[in-house]
Amino acid sequence: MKRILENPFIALHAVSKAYGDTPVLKGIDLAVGRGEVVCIIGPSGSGKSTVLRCINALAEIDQGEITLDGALIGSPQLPLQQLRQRVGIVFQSYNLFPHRTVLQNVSMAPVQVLGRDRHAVEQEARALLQQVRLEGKEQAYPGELSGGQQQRVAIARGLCMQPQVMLFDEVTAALDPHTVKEVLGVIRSIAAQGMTCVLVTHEMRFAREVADYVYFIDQGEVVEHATAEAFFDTPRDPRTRDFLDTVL
Amino acid sequence: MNEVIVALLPWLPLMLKGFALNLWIGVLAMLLACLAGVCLGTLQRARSRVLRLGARGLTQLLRNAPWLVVMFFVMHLLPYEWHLTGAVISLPAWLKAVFALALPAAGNASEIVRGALQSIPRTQWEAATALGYGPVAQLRHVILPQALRLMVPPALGLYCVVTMSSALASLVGVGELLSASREILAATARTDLLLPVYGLVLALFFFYIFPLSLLARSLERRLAYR
Amino acid sequence: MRLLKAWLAVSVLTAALGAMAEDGSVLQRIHARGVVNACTNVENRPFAYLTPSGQAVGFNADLLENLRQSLSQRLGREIGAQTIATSGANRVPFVQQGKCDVIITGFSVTEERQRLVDFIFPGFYASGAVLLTRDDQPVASWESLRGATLCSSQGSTYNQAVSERYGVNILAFAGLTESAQALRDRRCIGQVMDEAVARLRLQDSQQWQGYRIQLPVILEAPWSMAVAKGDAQWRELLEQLALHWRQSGFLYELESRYGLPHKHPLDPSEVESAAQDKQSLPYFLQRLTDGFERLNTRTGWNFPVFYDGWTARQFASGIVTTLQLSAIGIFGSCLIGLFGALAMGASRPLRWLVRGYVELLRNTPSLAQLYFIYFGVGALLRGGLEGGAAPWYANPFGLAALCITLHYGAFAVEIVRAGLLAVPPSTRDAALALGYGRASRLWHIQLPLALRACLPALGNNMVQLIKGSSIAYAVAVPEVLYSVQEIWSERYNVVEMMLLVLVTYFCAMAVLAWALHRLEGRLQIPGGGA
Repeated sequence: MKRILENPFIALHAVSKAYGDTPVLKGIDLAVGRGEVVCIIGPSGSGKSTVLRCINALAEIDQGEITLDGALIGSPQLPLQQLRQRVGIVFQSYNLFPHRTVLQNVSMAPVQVLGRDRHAVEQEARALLQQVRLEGKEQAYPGELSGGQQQRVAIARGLCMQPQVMLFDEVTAALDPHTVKEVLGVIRSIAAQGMTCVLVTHEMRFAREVADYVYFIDQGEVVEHATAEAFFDTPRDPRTRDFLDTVL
Repeated sequence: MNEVIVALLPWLPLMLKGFALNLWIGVLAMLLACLAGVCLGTLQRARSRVLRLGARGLTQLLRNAPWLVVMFFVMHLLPYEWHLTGAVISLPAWLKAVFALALPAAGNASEIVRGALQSIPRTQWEAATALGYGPVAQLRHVILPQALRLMVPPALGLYCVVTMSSALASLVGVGELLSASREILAATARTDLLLPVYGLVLALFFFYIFPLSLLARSLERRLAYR
Repeated sequence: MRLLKAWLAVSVLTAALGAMAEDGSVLQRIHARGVVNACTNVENRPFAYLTPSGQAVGFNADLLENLRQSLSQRLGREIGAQTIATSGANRVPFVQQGKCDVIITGFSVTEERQRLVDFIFPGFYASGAVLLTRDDQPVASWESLRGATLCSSQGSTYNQAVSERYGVNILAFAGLTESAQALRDRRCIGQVMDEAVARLRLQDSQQWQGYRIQLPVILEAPWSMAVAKGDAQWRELLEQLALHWRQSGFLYELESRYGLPHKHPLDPSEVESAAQDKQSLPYFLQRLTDGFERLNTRTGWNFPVFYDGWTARQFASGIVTTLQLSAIGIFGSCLIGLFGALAMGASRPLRWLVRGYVELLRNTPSLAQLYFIYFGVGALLRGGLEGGAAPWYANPFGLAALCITLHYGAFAVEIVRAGLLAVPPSTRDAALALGYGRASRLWHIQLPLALRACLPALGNNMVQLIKGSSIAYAVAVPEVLYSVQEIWSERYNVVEMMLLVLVTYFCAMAVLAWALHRLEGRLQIPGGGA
């Protein structure tokens, strides 16, 4: 029983993918509504990161289809470059460009890929850096920043493309507990502003607090999905219960 | 000893002029090699299998060809002047030598580029893709600027090799330092000048190449530490 | 992708355009240019030689002057004359490419050459080969020279003919001076030269005291002007001129002026062609050689090593020499690498010494090192330019092998040292703790591990050595490049011979690489680890 939404912003229908002989996704059905915050949780190796990568076409799917606002990904209505502008992603290992300053990291893609005006973009970038509480660090290089600071730059970089969706791929997994709070605070404020977010995360408390809907994926399949309250308060599937027991 | 110095002194300008030609040939050949090397090196990682294998084969061919043999090949194959719809471009011997040196050097440069590209983490490519950069734009804005830094020490080493190999051009009639030395010795016909002249040749090369070589090694250490 | 396609298109186009020969007939070009270009060489007294002011004078220059005058008359304007100095190796390509309009030099007519250029008959002179020998070296006949070594110039027609007919070894040098030098050094019994040139040399009493011509002239052939094929007008004009020279007594007068023996014009039919060395071969080999001959006549792709015995032997001996040089070099450089690396760990002064050696040889061109050793050190060993025979170790092969060994030995020292450094200090400590002495620790523990660590780099050094052995060419060591140049100097099939040389080197390097790969596999430690 898949989740039924009238006008899902992102929808996955029977998506399957294998790496070589190993199946990673086995018929995933997923729906994300506009402005929603959806969390995907599950044990490692369950394929949750792969789901995110499929949404912005960093990974190709073998079967099924993914739509963004009704348009099929990969079809002429949604060419890849447009997809990547509308869907932003933040990686677990930040993946900042080490040879560019913080400000350049945030502003270069809109200028070079989208062709926007440099001054306008830079102003926006500064505003974003302020929003993620990194003002004053514009001329620093990623190598000079801490992990948490780098991750916030990565978030600002994603936001500067003015996407409609932000994907977060276990963005706090590589950080120490103190900096985790900083980053989560940023994500909270982004979600509060109405951005559609899909998070893959281990932070259950955060998920509980921020998410509107939760999916539990294990071994490439959607095991259970529900609204956040229902999910965390009354998990139905025994696998879900086991998982939550070990994690919470 | 004094007498030898006195005998050599008047010939010094001629020798230095020859050495300048060596350096000039080295610089031009290196530039050409780097251009070709970047093309071949990036093609070695192309998505199309045909391009990848072709670039790889060409790289191995160029890398393993003896420099002197290529020198002869090019000298004989390139005409002495080129006719292009009206314009006539003369190809003097030293210019042909530049092409001849650039070929095997391009093979080496291609390997340097490929190695550097390989050591850029996959994640950088992913991040660039995720931001919407196309393949060429990725290389241009994200990958190559980082890779360039890794390429500098081995490229410097290659430049040293190319400059030293410019001496081979003396065997095909280019008037560089070694040729000049032979002519000088033939003109003076003195056996006691043999060692000093060739010793001077060695010294000229040494004092130019050695510092560069040291620089390359120290750069390699510094960059490896990062 | 688009960029690549565009680049390919442009390069193909420019290559095609560039390859197009100059258009217009020779006469038209001379008329437009106002100059006639003649290929000649400048070290053949009295036919062509330089005055101190750099002018080319002599028999050939006078012929050229006459040609120039007659052209000026015919074209109705003053035409200049330009001599372009060439060697045996490039005069034919130059006239074929149009850089020279005509070859006026001691160019004997041979069958091979007639395939490449048009000769102008009647010839302006004729000559054959003689042997210049020392007075104290009696030679009974050409036949008695079987197995001996003779010096000659590269690209001389006589080389293959003399060698095939009389079974001698030809040592060919870049020029007459080098060849003469070798004769003085006693590297050969005699020097094969043009009769006319030899006779004139002997008249130059100072340098050539104590030398003489003992044997009769062989291989006489007419000397003619030559032009590129395909321009009948130009050829006919020159033929008329050549006939006029003969009939008007101009040539006779020139011969007298320069003190040359008078020659009657030899007919093309009188040309002695050197018999092709056709040994009887087993059937399928015969088919192979026939196939390559057909390839030559049909397409012009000339691989003489596959059908001509003499060139095949040259090429084979060249390969053998290259392999010998490489083998000695590989063995020697590894030894130097080993002892050098050990010496660096031994004592302070020794370390500085080895470091100095390594830096000096790594940061200077191997060719310059070769010249230093050969001409500098080698000349000292030979006792200067005059004097007795060179000692056995002072021959070019030995010195070239030494130089190659030293050069690549320097790289080997660095490599082995890196290998030794790669052995973890903990291993060394363990050996110490077990009571191993210095020498046995090295032998049993450190070196085996170091070798495994540095084998790839050391192997690469050996492969580079094979490539680098080609510099022995510069001191006339008959390795494969040198032997091949002999072949192409006569036949001008540079591309084909170069391809063969490349293939040879690639094969040798591939074999070595494969052997090293097997060795690495055998030495591999299960589970990895240093």
